[in-house]
Amino acid sequence: MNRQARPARSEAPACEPPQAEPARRPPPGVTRDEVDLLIRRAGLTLNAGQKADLAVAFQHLVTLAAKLPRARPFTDEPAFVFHPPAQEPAPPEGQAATRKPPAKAAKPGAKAAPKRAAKPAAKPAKPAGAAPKARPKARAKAARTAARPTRRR
Amino acid sequence: MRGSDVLHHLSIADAAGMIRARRLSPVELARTLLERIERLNPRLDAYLTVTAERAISAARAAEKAQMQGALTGPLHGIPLAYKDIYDTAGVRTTAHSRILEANVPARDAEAVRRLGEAGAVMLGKLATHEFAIGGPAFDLPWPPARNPWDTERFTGGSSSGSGAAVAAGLALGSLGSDTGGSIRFPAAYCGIAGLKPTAGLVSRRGVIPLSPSLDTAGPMAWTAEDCAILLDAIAGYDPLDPASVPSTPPPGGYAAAARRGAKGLKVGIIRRFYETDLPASAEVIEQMEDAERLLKELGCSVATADCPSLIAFNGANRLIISAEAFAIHEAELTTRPEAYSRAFRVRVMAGGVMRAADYIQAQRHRRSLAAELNGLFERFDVLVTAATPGPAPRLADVSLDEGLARPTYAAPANVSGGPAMSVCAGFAPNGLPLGLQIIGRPFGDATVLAVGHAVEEASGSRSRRPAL
Repeated sequence: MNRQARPARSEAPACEPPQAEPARRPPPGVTRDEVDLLIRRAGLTLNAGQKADLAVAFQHLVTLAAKLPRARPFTDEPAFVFHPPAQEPAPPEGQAATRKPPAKAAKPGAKAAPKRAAKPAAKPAKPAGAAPKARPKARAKAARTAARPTRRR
Repeated sequence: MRGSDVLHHLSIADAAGMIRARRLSPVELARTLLERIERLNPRLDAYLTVTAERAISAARAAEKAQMQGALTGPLHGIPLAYKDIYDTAGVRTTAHSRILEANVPARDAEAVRRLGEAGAVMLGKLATHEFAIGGPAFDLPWPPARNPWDTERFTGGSSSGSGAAVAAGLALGSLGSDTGGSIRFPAAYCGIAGLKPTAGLVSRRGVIPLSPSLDTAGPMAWTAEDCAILLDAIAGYDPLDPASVPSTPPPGGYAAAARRGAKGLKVGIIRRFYETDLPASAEVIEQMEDAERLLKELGCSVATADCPSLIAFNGANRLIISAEAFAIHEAELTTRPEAYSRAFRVRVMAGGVMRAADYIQAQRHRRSLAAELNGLFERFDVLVTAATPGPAPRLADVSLDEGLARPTYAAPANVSGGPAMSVCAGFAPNGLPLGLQIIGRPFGDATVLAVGHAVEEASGSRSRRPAL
């Protein structure tokens, strides 16, 4: 049976102000009417405080989106999904400069590389067990290695 | 010994050695941690659910196998706990949300299943930001986790409970997830090690999604070596995760590779992130100077690496997260938005009103940025930069706009798809830990772990624990 570490609580701990941030106004770039329209189109039904929060967050997203490069060629790969790069053979340590460079950004019209065939996951090696006669001790022995000095800053 | 001489502060590597040598009982180890959870969790709120009886039962089975000489590997009998977005068969999985308050999955997430097969003992489920994004929040059924180094401080998120539990000795290791830094932030703020593996290396099947084209599952533990041990168990192709990628582990496994040292590696320092794009605090700048010296002492060649602006990476990362997260939660957000925390709504709802063209342009930009960042690995084996702009802030000072109003140092590796980890490389004058971020080429996880392990060993940071 599982037990909760602590009963469910819905109230804030006494030492913390419960969400002390005041209701915020949308920044100048986005008007209330615009936000209301967007919220309706998204199918959201929000109270005034939730709308205000959304407006502030939306302005952040607008600011981030404004910095995205837009001038891409028609043939630029749309990248709806990010494909993790396939694994390459690891170079020897310290040989970074001599290894084959990784693939560059997709060129216009380029296709994503096909994934390699699946293979089963590797399992960790099984170390041999200790001699069967010994019994586990109840407590750990004290450390035999001296603690390393703390690098005080 | 890299952890401590007390059971709850053992590293996984040390505990595994003691179990192998029959100097440690898995039952005793599990009981010790369960007692500590009982005592400290009311202060830390790291656990949402503790599976005590199940843990003892699993530990007994592990001890029986130990006595029969049938060890399953270095995770045999090791007590772990999982971020509460990982499905666990028969154990409530809430995503720290009232939306899933009564959700009990029928089967384990693939990563959890693999750890169980490797002999790990599950202690329970850990706090997270709501659905791995909405937090810290005080308007949910459970409070947010607190930083063991100072309980008034933020753990970082979203794998908040994982950071707190490992640092406090309430679990020897954990699984987190990283979409925009959610493993690396709590690792940095809580002074532990956390690896965001290469995208596709670890199965996300059974992990509640946030942003499917960015989500990555990965290990969190006290040391980089422990993360490598966990990665050995969970890495590998999963045909049922559409984002899974076939891969080959390094010879001898990730743990062996992590111990090989950093000598001879070419390290690029991305200074612009913490000097110009998002200026870090004085202690972080000083820590980065120390890290540069340390890497040279370890035999690395170090040079400045240049790459696109942090703002560019963050923009692509955040726009993609917003659009994809809204799509996942659209049905609930349009019918009962009040069921979510305010933090979740602020960070996700605007994704429902952004333009489709902006999402697609963000994905296109992501591909270009990934190629530019990964192109640096023609010159360097790893890149290093700051993990956070300062030590953990006070919980009350964390903004709802986090990640939207200003960039983070984590976004580049989420955009590139490569591995990145945070290790504890020192402490601020106020005693709070400071993380160092190490970024690798795709599937260069072993090299990242090796640098992380070498930095930990050389800095001596692993001998210091929070006073609780």
